[in-house]
Amino acid sequence: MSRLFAPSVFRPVWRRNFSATTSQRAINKLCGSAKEAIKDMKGSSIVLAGGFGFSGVPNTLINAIRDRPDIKDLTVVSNNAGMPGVGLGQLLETRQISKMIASFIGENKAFEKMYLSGDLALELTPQGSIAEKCAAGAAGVPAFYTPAAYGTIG
Amino acid sequence: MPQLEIFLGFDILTSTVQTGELPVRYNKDGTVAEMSKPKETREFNGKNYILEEAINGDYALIKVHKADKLGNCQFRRGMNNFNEAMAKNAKVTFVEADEIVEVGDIEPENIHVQGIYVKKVIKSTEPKKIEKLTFAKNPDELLQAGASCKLHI
Repeated sequence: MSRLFAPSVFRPVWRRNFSATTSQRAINKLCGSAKEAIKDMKGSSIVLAGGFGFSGVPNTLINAIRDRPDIKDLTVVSNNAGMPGVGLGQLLETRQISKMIASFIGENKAFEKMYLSGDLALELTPQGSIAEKCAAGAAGVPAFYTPAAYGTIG
Repeated sequence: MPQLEIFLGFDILTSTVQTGELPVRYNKDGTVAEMSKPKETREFNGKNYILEEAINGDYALIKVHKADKLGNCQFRRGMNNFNEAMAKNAKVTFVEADEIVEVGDIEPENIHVQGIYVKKVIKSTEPKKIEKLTFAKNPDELLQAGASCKLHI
């Protein structure tokens, strides 16, 4: 049966359904460098940074932000904040982050010191809740109910 | 045990996230400048829940294994963590990929983040970092490590 259907290229022009595939040639999202990619980025914004520990962390992009001191007062959403000198830990040291929404704050002495000395705001959120808060925002869901953090200490 | 008595004084064990008892920001002198907001709670089918509000990000920084010039991305292993939800969430999504591939090289069913969510794609230049290095005690142990692990690249 399937052989009866000719490939779309052999379809007469008047029967073509003007799909968007031809416009693909015009799209090119590749950028030569991280610096060029983030050139229009502004401070005082909410930045979501992927990764868990050192796995799947966008280090090239984070380093590019570190090299742009004018991007500051960032609210960063990430599971944890790297380590001093690595990943998001660098942006803490350069004081570009003013608030963290995170679930794991261990392994980072700079983070702890800044939090306790009033240089950094922290919204401690359970790990699964952070993931779902991002997924909900992506899907256009404004809020959701979760049993996580109900009736537990800390 | 004074702390325990405080907690047992409530009908239920209260949580700091739920009741807004976590300091969000401290003052320089160590006193609390701002506490977290208490969360709304509700019961469904006899179980209690708290209301969490969605996050709407301005920018997302995303790490992927493969990406093409249309912005279609594929993750590998640990990259599957928060990256997908965050990539789809933010207004502007920047992607860094281990490998830039031709359009069509990633099978349609293997695309984890569709190009429509992505603004810019760059190639990763930073090497992968390892949080804690541990060493095999003898060469046999080294050879066996990862023997049961299949690579799906």
